Amino acid sequence: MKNETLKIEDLRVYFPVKQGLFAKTVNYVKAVDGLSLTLKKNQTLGVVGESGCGKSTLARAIMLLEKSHTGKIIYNDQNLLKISSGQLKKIRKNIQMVFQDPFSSLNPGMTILDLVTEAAIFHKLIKKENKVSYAESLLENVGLSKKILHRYPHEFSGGQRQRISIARALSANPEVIICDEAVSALDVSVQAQVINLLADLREKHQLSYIFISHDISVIAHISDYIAVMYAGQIVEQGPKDTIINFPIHPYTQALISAVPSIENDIKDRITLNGEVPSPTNPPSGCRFHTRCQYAEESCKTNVPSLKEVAEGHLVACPIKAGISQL
Amino acid sequence: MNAAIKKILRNPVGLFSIIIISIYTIVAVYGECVYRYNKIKDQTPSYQETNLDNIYHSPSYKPGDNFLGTDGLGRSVFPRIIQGTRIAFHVGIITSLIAIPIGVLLGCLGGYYGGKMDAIIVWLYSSVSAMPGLLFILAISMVVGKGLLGIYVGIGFTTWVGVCRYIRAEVIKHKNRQYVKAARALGYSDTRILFRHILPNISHIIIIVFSIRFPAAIATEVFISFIGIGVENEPSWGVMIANARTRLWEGIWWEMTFVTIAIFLIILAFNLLGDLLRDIFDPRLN
Repeated sequence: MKNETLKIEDLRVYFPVKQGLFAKTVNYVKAVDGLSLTLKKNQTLGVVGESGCGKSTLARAIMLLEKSHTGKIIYNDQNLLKISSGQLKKIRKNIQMVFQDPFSSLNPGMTILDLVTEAAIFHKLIKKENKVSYAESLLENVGLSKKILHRYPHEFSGGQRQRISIARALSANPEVIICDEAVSALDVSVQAQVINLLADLREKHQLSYIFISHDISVIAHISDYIAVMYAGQIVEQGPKDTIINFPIHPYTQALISAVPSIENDIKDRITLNGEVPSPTNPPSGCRFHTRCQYAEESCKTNVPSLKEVAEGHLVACPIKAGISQL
Repeated sequence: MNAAIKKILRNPVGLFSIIIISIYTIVAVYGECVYRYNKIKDQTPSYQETNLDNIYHSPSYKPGDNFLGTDGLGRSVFPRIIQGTRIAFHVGIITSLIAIPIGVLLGCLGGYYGGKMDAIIVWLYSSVSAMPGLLFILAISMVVGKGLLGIYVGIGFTTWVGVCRYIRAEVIKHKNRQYVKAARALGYSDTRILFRHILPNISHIIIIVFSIRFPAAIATEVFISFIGIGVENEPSWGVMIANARTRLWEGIWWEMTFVTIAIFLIILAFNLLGDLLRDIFDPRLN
């Protein structure tokens, strides 16, 4: 399929746990454990999951900011984990990232002009002389005034800074933008503005997003396709409407029922007991069986794999998937 | 940066130390001019001319007379203190120029790259700081010969340790900030991230370190010259104190007193300024 931009296959990110005098590796924190995803062109892939399930590690792994243990990250038919650093430098500008915290992700010592044009100059997209006009067009794109070029990041509010971060990500003219909790630090009203801005930019610049958030209502608003992560793995993925309206995996059902709603008061909210399992020693079998109300004896031993229940809708739960097929 | 300068000038202590340091700087520049002039003319400068008819002349305030008195060889104390200031500034600046680049470079490399590189750098500065500094300076002046060169090299190559530690700690703090991650995500090279992104954000530390290193270097030079292994045949403050010491018990107080005041004021001013800079730049206090 040609309309795939980024394809992740069986990605594993393990952090060694070192102990003792000689820092012997005694165990691994399995932050991302065998994860596969496909991002289609000009689409938004939402990744949702609770804190500690490995969402941000996934984002950093795709950006190659973490060393991945195994797996493939395929972009333009090239595995980014295998190619040389020279080639990587050329590709890097095509995949950009917007960070969670707008207060620490902008270099406090640089003016807005330098912040948003440095990447373009570095990657030789523009010449140094043209940087002011380039910066002005970028700022216009993200809805900021041209007058701020010579000011510093600390003079701006969270929403404005996040717009500057987006402008910086756009400056390298990327095809894929990874938004790691890009709106989580913002007020709800500002969140909506920034999400709408991102949606506009997607149409304008033919971008693809991987949008990572713990907030399924944000994900539902922006995504075309949703993947639900639990303990470093994907438990369910599919088109947005299917996932939101007909969730199959018990974890997805619990996540969706947790969304507060004004219109209808949900009486039978599914509450999960316990916590996210430790990524160092994940539970055997299905990782969710410790908190699942439908868990059976077989869940403790059999590792579920993603099975297609409808077109494009994959679920890693043999019990519920079986029921839905009946 | 402008805000910091304003803050210093508004603070009475800051204003005091800036005024003192400015006066000393002007005096040092004047001393340098006198020194150069005499060197070009190839003549014995007035502050070195002995006048055995006029030894231990007490301070007199008549114009044209010896303002701060004369020493045991009849040399006027005042121009000699000016020359002492010149030497002190030489020591402060040159040792800083040696120590700060070494410390900053090693601190940046160790802090940023970590791993083996860091281990080697930490081992290096631990070893250097484990050696008694004075003995190290002594050893160096034995090799390169007594005089200012030995002092420059000796102090310069022992005091980078503090700079290195400080910079390394700051770089480690900054390299995990998100803006550095963002820079890596944009594909910048390590050197660009280190020197264009991290270093400008910790450059205030270099200023603070300089304001602390400068008086420390002066004090070390005075001490080394005082015990007689430093400057020779030039009116360093240490040499002057060493000379003045011999007749102090006879009531020849002026040379000792004025040199001590000169040392005291400059070191006080720099230390106050250093403390103030640290207060201003320390983000935890803002």
